[in-house]
Amino acid sequence: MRYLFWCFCTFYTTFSIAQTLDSIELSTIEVSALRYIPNKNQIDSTQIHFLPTASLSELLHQHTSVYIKSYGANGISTTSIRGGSASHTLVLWNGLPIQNPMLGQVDLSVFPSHLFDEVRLDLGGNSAIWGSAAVGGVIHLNTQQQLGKSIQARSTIGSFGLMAHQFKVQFGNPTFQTTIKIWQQQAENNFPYTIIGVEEKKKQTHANLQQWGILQENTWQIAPKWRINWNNWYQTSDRQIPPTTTQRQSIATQLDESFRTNLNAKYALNNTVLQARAALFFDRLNFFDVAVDSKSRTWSNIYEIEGKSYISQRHTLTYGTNWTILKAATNGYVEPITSQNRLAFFTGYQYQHEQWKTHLAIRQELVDGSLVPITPSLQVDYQLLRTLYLQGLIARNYRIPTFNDLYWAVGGNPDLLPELGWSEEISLQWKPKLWDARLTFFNRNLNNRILWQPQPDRGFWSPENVDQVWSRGLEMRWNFQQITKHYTLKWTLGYDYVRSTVKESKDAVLVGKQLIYTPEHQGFTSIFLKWKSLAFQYNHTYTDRVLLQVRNPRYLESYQLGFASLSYDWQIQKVKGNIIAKINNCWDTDYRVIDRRPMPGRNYECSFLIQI
Amino acid sequence: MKNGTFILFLFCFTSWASAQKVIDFENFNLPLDTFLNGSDLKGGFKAEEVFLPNRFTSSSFGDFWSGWSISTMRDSVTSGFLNQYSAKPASGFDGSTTYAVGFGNNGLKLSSNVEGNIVEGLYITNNTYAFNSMRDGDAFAKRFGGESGNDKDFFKIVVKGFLKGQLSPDSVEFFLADFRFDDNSKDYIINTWQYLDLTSLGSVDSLSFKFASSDVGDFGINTPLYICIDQIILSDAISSADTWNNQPSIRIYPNPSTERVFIDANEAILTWQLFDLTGRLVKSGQNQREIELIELNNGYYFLQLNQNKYTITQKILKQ
Repeated sequence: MRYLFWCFCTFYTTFSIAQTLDSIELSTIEVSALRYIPNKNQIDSTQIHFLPTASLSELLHQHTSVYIKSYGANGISTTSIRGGSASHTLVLWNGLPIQNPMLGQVDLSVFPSHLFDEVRLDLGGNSAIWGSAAVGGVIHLNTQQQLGKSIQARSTIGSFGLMAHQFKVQFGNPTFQTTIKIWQQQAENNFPYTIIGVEEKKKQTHANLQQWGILQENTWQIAPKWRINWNNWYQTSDRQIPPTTTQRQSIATQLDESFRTNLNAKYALNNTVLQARAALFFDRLNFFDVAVDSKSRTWSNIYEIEGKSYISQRHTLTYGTNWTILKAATNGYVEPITSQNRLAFFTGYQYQHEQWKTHLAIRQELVDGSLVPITPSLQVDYQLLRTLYLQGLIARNYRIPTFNDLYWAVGGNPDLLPELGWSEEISLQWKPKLWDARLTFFNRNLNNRILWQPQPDRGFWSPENVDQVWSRGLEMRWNFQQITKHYTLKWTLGYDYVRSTVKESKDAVLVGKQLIYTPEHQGFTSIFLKWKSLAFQYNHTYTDRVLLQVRNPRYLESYQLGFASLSYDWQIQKVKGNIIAKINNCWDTDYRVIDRRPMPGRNYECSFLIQI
Repeated sequence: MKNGTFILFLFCFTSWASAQKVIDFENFNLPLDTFLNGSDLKGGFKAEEVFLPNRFTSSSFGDFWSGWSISTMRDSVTSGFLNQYSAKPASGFDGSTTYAVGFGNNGLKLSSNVEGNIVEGLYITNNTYAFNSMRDGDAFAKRFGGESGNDKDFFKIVVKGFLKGQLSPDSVEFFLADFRFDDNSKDYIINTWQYLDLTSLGSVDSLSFKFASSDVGDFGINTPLYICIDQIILSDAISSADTWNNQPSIRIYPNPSTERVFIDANEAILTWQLFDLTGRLVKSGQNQREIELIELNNGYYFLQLNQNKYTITQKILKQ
């Protein structure tokens, strides 16, 4: 009965994963929001398993079309989805936003991908469901506790001083389950790189990384209809920031420290599920460089109540409220403590009957008592034929200015308006037995884009609502999967075309130009083949050239990257093991993602895992 | 290229001496290693007949300014924004203590009593922040020469003159750094005080200073936009016979000379300095009418004579 409840609460709490070592068939507990998730692009645990030391940015780069702006092997990594900026991607941990309120973005390079059991990408605007910053897309990072007992240890060694250790233990009984993950990683990142016109290779310097963290998840099944989760996540990342290729040396360092805790209570009542959540997210960021000694701390207190009522087979209603208090303490602001109150009400209605499925969502948010324009969205799915589906989505999206935009001293502009706009998309999906193909066209207009600009004769920069950005494009996906008694074959192909231009601007030069660091074309393919205990995976990505500056245009050249992994599972009585050998950048491509930031050439990793 | 300005100066000023007023900023009487950045909100600095505008923004976090500051800072080593007030030579021109630091495109104005006069020239150099940024690169600006050392980088200032709102037909440009040579060994970044001849601008009532750099992004120049100036040389007003009659009478002979030169003047020579073509001070003295040249290499030199009211510069040739 209890297990049935767990299923009910989480919709898909029981599922099977492929036959890799991490994928032992177990019931799982997922902690996330109850809200509707329109598009589901999931990176499954098999793919995460093949990247034991990769950061989240590396995982997304290899398995999705998300454009990752990586500032070198040891620099920060941010995202661009559908032509949006880093602050137009909302990142959720178990359904709660972990955006830094000062920057409005997340550095994905400090998140180890092995920490998450599921990474899901929702492309397109979803502010009506998730709120501010869900403009380009939403990245869901979910942990799923597996019921049962096990101990797992993994060590990895690799090129350029890479050493990583992970330890995971889980135990419990039907009323209590706990999981602890501890990890430590270090790297020298002293890779060689080439400079055009210079024969001798140069070597990356001042790029050491030290990182460790602990994630603990607890679940209590208090009563058949009651369940409580308490999750705690601490991590610290201490890194040297290497010099650019036009910088003689660097003394820059960055310390990121974060502690996140959230408490979730879920209650099932007849045809309704209610969930109450409280979370505290703390981030510390210390950046030191020549003439810079920046120290900042931020706190996010989140309180959320939401419910989902299954009115009938056809009608489902979701509703909830979210109260978030954001605080920041930094030597960059006038006030020693800066805070912001956000209160949001949201509701969604889903109708499902025969070939039709529609979802209407509305969200109203108040920021320090001021109303943000109401944001609705409407999604319609229609089954044209037995294997052919049509989907349309129209949504209003917004992004509230960050603390830095509003309060940075000197330059912060408290009169900034939220970025606001509409997005539309239409998809056609064909799903025969072995494969499915999806073609999506999207269109998005975003007004009041916030841009930091130098203030003439004033000696500093200041943000302004400067222009309107028009993003449009198409996405093509093709997934093939064949699972037999002897082998498993999965093949994915993806191509994105994104045109993101300034439509209106005070600066006429920008009008009609593609945004900087926004590739027009991207493609990727992923092949996975498993035979008995052996598994092979190859990922290949293509990134088009990107514009670096509009005036006197300069470009970063396009590049292709390959990643190959070979995995072998073994078992001796109750002890299981796994070895993964991996080659990153197989074709030794000399490339840059950010101007003047070299990236490593071909490099190797070897990972050993043992599980009891 | 490095000596181009001085060669120009040499031929323009050959054996021409006129009555001059030198604005050297020393009358601000600033203690060493201090600066004035406009925090008094007076909108600028009055340095005798020259007004240097300043725009200052105050905040509890920090102060931001543009235009001009007055400085006696001597840090020629520390990189970064916090060392924005130091001249790379670690002093004013000729070892003096005080100079002006300019940030951003800006200008200066002559006071009404000297409007329409000729600004003969001034001494100019990089500040430490800009120099080190071009030499080493930083998080925002490139190291000059780029990744390979072969980029044709430059950083220059363009000076224009205005008279009653009319732009002078000529402009003067000065390369604070020049890496455009095919032979990289000739690349340079200015780290000494250099004389900038502005006589070609003619009569002016104000000057504008505008930067140009090869390191440019969408939001403008990445190179830190700083210059340091000192010793603004104004020609004296030439509006009446009295003025002409009051000109100092100075004769330097023999010129060319092999061993020494003599100075014949109707007023006392308080101090004197001798510079080579690169602007390097090679000798100096005071209250002398005879200057030994015998230990110097053959070539052209500039002899600057400072009297009570006038400063006069003459070219001499050591043979």
